[in-house]
Amino acid sequence: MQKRTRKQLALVLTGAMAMSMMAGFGASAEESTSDIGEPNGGAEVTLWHYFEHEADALNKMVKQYNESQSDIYIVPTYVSRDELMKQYTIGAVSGELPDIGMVDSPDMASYISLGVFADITDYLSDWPDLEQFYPGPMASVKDADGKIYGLPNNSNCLALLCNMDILKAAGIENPPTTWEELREVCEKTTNPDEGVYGLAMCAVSNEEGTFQYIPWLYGAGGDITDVDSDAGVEALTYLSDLVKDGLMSKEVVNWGQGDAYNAFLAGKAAILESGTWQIATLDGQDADKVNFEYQYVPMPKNGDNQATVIGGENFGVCAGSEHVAECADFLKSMMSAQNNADWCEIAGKLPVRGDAVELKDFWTADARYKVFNDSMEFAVARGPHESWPTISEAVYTAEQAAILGEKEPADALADAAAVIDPILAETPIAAQ
Amino acid sequence: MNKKAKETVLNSKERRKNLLNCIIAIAIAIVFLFPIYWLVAMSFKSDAESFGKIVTYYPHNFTLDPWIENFTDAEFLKSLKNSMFIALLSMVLSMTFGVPAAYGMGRYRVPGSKGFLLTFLVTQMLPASLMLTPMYLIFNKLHLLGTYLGPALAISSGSVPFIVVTLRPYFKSVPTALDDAARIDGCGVFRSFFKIMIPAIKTGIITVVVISFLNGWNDLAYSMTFNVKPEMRPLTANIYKFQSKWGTKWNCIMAYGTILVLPVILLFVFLQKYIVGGLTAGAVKE
Amino acid sequence: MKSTIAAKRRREGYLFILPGFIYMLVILGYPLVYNIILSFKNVNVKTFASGTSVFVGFQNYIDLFHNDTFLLVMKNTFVFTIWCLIFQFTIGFIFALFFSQKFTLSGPIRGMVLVGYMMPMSVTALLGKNMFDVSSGVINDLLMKVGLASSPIEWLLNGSTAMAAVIAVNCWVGIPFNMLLLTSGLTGISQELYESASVDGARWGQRFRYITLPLMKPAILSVLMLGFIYTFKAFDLMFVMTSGGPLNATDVLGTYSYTLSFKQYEFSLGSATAMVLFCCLFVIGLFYLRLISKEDD
Repeated sequence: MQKRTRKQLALVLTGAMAMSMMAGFGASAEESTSDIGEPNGGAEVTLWHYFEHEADALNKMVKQYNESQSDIYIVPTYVSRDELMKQYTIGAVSGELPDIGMVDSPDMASYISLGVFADITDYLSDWPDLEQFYPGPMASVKDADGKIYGLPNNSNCLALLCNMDILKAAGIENPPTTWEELREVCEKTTNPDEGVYGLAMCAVSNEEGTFQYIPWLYGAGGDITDVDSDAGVEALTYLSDLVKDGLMSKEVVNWGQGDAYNAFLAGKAAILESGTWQIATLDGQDADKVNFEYQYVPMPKNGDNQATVIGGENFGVCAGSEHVAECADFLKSMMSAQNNADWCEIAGKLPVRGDAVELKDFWTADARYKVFNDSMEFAVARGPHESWPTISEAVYTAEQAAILGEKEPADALADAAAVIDPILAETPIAAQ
Repeated sequence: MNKKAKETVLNSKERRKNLLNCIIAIAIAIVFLFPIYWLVAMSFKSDAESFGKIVTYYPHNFTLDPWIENFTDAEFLKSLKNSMFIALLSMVLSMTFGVPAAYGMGRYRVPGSKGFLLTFLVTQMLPASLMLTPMYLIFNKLHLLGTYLGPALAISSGSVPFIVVTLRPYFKSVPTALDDAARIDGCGVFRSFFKIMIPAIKTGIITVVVISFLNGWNDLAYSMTFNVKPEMRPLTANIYKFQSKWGTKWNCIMAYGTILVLPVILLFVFLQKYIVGGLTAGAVKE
Repeated sequence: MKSTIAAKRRREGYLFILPGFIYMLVILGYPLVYNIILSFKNVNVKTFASGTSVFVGFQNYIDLFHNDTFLLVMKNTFVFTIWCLIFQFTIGFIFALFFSQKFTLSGPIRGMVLVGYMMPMSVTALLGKNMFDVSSGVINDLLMKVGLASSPIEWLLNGSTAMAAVIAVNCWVGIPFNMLLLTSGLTGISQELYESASVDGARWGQRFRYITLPLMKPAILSVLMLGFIYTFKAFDLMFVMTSGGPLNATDVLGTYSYTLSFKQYEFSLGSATAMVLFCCLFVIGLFYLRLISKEDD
């Protein structure tokens, strides 16, 4: 009996070894799936990013740059967004940082004050292109003194994506343009028996939740500096009423933007608060699931007010890099008008500089991109503020409390204001 | 005659009881194994079915796509290898330091032994979130970030106290006559440790080998924090990649999860008796 | 002569114990000290950059205990732990008694039930998240099919039901664990005791009360304390299944300290929270230690 067990143990362990060895061979056989060009003799610098479907396009651009010069050899590494944020935080303490890092624009101010990014103002001071960048995205890479720590890479914003099949079936020909119309569409399209709701959005407890809430806050005429104003309460009441009246699923509080998008694709919602980047997936990986007619329209108006929110990613050179000058040069090249235009076209994003938009008719010829491009007129930036994560937490917490029916919108927002107001009183949001 | 009749009554009564017990046991098994069935069943569903409005109890559109997606991913194979290495390395480290300590504490009366036991118990209580940042800083100084050794060291800090607590009573229960005899025969301390003691508590050893391997295999927090590069990350850290801004791909997650659970089930099937016996003997004989 | 032998024995003992002991001190000692220091300073995103962090004494702890969220998290941690202990211990005990009977399937099925205990928590938590989903979750579907619910229960959307869901998932892991530990306590009781009690005419209830329980006391206590320690420091489960939501309803000390440190960059507050967690465990740990050492003597 004992012998038998020893045999079995040996068997399992051998199996385990064999498995790991096989895995080892497999891995070595498939080494290097991304083509970033042959080593060019330059110093190796690391670049961390969280692009997923855009990764190939990024690698292509990096390859081009690696082949064009021999000072540095850039090696991009994918790190998921949450993970990247944590690594910057700990890296600020330990100094273990990449040379070049990507960051979500509203978070950049925190990392600048944590000392994650290097001041590259001097390397950009004689760069004439700088004035071509839009002020909104540009503000997110500066500190309060106007020093520059990186360059914006792309922008996006939110609009409404309508499933026209559902709308038409409910007797609605045109997508909603105002808050009242949106509410009306929701009432007509909601069908509890079929599990169809009027609107889907993301109200999850992280930055994505705040991101999707900002258009409503500013659309009502509210402002982050005064979240519990009448307008702020109106915005939150509007959303929480949609849930209360069964026109939007309560599940939005657990949905990331991708989950809301999936719910929309599965026909569980007539309208989605959708981001620019989702056009690329509608055309790409999910093309076979789009078996309905859809249309993008700008975020609806409330009276004279209309707003959406600016999203986007920045790239910065990290503090402690031994190749700050060379990395800054790469950023300049990466964000040149032509490269920015090419990149945004491939990745389905909006350029960050005016002269890049003019290089292609992509953003105006495609009706869907045009909606987003035009929406940038009334798009609002988040922050920049070094305590944005705390501010953002207060906002999405209030939103969740109201949507879940735990608190009245006014009370929830008063709680949020109690957190936000002292922070902003001490350090106001930098003017753009 | 009378006696015989009584026996058959008893027999049929016992048989009925046995049957009833079996039925209850099967019911318990169904409840407890259903989640695992669900894990496997979901992994064979198509995207639409796994996210559908209608809940299906078996894959109506059976598909291998989630599995293919995982197995054709070069990163997946690397992660599998990483999981193995981290688990094996942390197991070896834990055994090297844990087993002798358990032996020392089980068989020797030394001053301060309560202090040692307290230390080992306290270390079992340290939550991972308390250790992450400081450990990261030390490993950074020692250039252990992005290696297998970093997470393995951190994980073993949880396994070593487990081994000590589990094996100490085992060592205690071995009759002193056994190693006294060995000493008289001229066996050195270490010889008697390896030749007499370890084989004497084989059950316990198998248990801690398996559990410390699984501790490494199951770890998330440490491997995720100390290894940034995808080519160094284990499976547990990569299961999240299906939860992204593109939404939650349940079928892929479940296929990934099934692969993660497979070694656990295999170890169980082969070594169940030892794990059950070993764990119980250790923790409660105290 | 005798004393030299004793000294030699001691040396041998240290030779075996010290490598492991020092190993643990090196790996865990520094982090713990570092964390204690951090919890008495005011390190956050601002003071960190300017290098102006100073010692603030117990201010972080005072702030925490005046913070409603922290108090809620504290309450959640206890609620979670206590309910988990109640369920996993009672059911675990019943299972242990049940499977200690000799019947055809007792061995294999007891083993199968254990698989949940060995699974990676991250997988278990994801599975829980999927199964408790409102619209596409199998739990709601089952409940409605058998008529226990007329409309889908919003499991992870309401505070109390979300807590119930994480407790349920944790019990799925905890029940086998408790059963396992209690089983061995039961097998330690000699059958003769029961037999002689049966001869004396003691009924099942009496036997349980006067034989099983008293003899099992040490096992029960250590199971409860180990259970407390493992449950109280839960992290992976909430981190993956609910992210502490909705509205901190399932946030526990482990996840909250992580949020403070890594999401809001309030490093000192995060450390202080972790220390509170640690101190609670330490108190229970002392009881556990006393229990163990008492039996040692």
